[in-house]
Amino acid sequence: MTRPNKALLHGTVDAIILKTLSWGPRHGYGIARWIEETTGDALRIEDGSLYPALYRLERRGWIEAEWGVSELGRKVKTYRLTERGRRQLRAETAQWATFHVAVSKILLPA
Amino acid sequence: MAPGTRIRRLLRSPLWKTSVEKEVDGEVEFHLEMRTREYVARGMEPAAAREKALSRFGEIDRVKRTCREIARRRDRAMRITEWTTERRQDLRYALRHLIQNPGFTLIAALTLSLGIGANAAMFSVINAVLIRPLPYAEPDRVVHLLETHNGELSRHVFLSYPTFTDYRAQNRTLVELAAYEFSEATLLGTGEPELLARATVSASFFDVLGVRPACGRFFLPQEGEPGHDPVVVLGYGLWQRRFGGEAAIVGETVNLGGIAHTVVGVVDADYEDPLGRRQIYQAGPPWSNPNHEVRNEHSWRVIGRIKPGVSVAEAQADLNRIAAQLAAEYPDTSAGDGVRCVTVKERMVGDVRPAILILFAAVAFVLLIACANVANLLLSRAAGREREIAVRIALGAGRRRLLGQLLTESIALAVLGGAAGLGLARAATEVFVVLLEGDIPRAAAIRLDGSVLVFTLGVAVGTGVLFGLVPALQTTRPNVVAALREGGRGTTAGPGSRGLRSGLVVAEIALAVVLVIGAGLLIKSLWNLRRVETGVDAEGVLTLRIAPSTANHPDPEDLTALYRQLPARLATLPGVEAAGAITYLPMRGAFSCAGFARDDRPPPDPTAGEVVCTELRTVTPDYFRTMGMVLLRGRGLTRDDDARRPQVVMINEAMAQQAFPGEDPIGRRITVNGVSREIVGVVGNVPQLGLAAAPAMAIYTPHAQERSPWARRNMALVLRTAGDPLKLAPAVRTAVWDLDATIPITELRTMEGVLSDNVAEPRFRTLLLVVFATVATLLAAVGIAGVMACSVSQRRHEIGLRMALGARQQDVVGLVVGQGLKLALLGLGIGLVAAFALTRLLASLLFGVGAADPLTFATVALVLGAVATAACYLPARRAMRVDPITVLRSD
Repeated sequence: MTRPNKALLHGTVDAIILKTLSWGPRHGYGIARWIEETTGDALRIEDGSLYPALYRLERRGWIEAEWGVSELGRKVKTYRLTERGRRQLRAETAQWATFHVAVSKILLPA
Repeated sequence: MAPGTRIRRLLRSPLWKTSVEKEVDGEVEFHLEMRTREYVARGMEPAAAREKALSRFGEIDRVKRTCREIARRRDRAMRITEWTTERRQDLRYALRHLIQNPGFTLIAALTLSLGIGANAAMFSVINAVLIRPLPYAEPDRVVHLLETHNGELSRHVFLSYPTFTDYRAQNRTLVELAAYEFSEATLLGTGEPELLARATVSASFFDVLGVRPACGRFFLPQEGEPGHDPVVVLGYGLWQRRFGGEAAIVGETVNLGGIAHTVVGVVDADYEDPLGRRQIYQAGPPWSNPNHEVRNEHSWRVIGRIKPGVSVAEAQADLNRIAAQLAAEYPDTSAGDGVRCVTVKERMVGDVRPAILILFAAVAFVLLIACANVANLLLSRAAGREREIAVRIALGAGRRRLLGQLLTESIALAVLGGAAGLGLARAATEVFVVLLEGDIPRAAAIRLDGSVLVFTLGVAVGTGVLFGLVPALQTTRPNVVAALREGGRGTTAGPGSRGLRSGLVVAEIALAVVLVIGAGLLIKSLWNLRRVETGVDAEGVLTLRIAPSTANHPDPEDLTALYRQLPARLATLPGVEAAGAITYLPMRGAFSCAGFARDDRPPPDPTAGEVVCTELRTVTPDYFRTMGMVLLRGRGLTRDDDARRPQVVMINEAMAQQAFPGEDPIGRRITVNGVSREIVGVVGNVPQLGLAAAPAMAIYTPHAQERSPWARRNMALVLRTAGDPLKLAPAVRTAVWDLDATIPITELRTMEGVLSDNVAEPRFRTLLLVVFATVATLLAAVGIAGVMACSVSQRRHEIGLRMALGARQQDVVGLVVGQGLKLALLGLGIGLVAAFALTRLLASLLFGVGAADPLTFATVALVLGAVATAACYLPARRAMRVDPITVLRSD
């Protein structure tokens, strides 16, 4: 399995996190695990980049945080998607789709 | 989700109450722990698993730092949003409250508008006159060099030209010096001949100031040299008015006194002359007059620019050094002379600063009184708002929040009053400009500009806090809040509140007392000033200034003939009783002076400070009679005292007393300007520089015998008329122009007008202080009445009881008035003591009256006592009308 190019990943981390949360609220570790599981470990967000990304998304009002209970029984910071975040996700998904189609036309001509 | 809901969710969640550190650390720690478990589940040792989890995380400290930073910014943004939402809510409450209570709002806003508006108006004066920097490059570096004699500023503060050149050459701390001399020039050409106020300046003058021309350029160094063609720079007003503001004037010539002067440039609209309005500037060396090369002919004012990095004190020390050198080198002329270095701004506004600051303090007092009144108003309404406060507490407001709401109300009220006050201030500043222009420097620029608006806003907010804080604290006292919470009645109108309100009224009265005493002292000074012996009978006297040109009157004999014929001709006009001429009118501030020596004594020793510059006035023989001056001894001047006869002179009483103590000066001889003259008469003193100055020595020379050219060309004519002097103005003009149509006539006005100008500034500031004191007294009276009215309604029960027990109406009135007078006396006492301490600050403004004048103090005390009694009248009447039966029944 080839590891994906880091540069390609950077711009889409935000969209990926938003999409992850669109399936329901999760804590930070949960988000990382979900992405790994869903992509079959093909995509891995650096643990160290995940949290700054989460804080930035919270600052911009696309996700919001509250206390939830963790698997360990303690309280943990849990994130959920806001309405504005939903709108942002739709926008970024559309953008990605356009980008993907365009690049595919060049790199993978039918 | 709307932003509002998001905030409310977060507010309710305890998340944001955790510290940022704990939040980030907890999150990261949880993640690490979960990863470790992951690895352990795959079979790694716990320690190794932890190792791997950590290394996988990356630079943990950097990540934590970044997250904390973002989290802090997030928290800050949230706090600000929360704060602004609260304030917006508070503002809505406040405005609603104010609108629902129009009576209260109107009275309070009106009271505040008086105080805030007056402050705004006075601040515009301070801003325009004192604060605003002069329009020069680095204005603090531009200084006057004022001549001193034996350490004190000499009467004339001018230097002689040779001294000026020495200072210029020998100094080490000044970039450049420039010399400046006032003169007049007649502008001829199309239209009426016009006498212009001219300044003859060194070529470096505008460079010293560091200003730019509106068009053209300023002088080149060679243009100031002797022999160069005359060049001038126009003043902005003259350029606009007489030359249409056309840039084409540059390079053209103008006719000054028959000689063509080339215009090289125009100063710009913002320019301020360091010495007073000049209409035209000419580059020049000294006039080609030998006297100007003489070291003791003081005629030049000097300005200079200090080098960067040098302080005024250092420059002063440098100049002192040169002064000492010159005194040693030229003991005959320069012993005891020095220069003092003063910034141009200080010289311009230093004299008016005390008066302006005192008036500013006065309006601050008025504002404080207004605040006290509004605070009292709020306190008296606190009882009525209990229900409203109870409702807010029920809605969950804590004490802090309540305080915030009440303060927002006060500030909103104050801003409202401030807005209204700005309207007042606008009107006031327009009046100020009209009244003060010419009397106070830089007055033309007084207006409501950006700084004034910012100041007013600041004052409004500060005022709101000032008068609102104590009532708000009162209303939200913890026990009150607790009691209302439990549904009981508060005690907001209790005795504590009453003591506070009485205290405020006492303070108001004290402040008003100080202001009224200040006003009283100024009134007395003005009265004294107006009664100063002017030495002339100004009633019915018309004055004008003329400037015969050198073209039409080149020789001295021409001028002698002119000034013999013209007064004679004017005296024949119907309605004119006598006419004469003098170099400078009394009390116009201008003068010339020279040293004199008694012929029968050894010549005075300059090194011992014996040479005194004495005022020199050239007159025609009929001058004294025209001005109604008193001849004390000897004879006056006659037509016979002309160039061929023995040279004579008249002196004034001050000179007779000081130069000839105990002797009869008649018959003695003195030498002035190199000419020996016999004293033939003594006249009364006439102040030249202003009413408040002590009478100085003065010498009067007859015009026909005077030889100094500048003392006999441009003179002021005076005519004694029967009836209104100004009615004769057209006839006078015709008479002058019949003789010579090119003579410009300026300053045609009555002598009484000239005298009145002298008191213009003291009159204005007295008027202003009287206005402030009156407003303060009215506000204080309203304050007393308010407190008494409240007291009466609170004590209705007690009054009803007393009346039921047999008290008569007079007793009740006595009760109320007595209570009011107690407050008033306390306020009076404090006020009198404060005034005693503070009025010494007024000392520089007073004339003929001491700062602790007992008569004024006593009068003010009586007057204000009477006002206080009158203020209790209405509440006393209300007390009288209390019906005991109704009151007792409603218990």
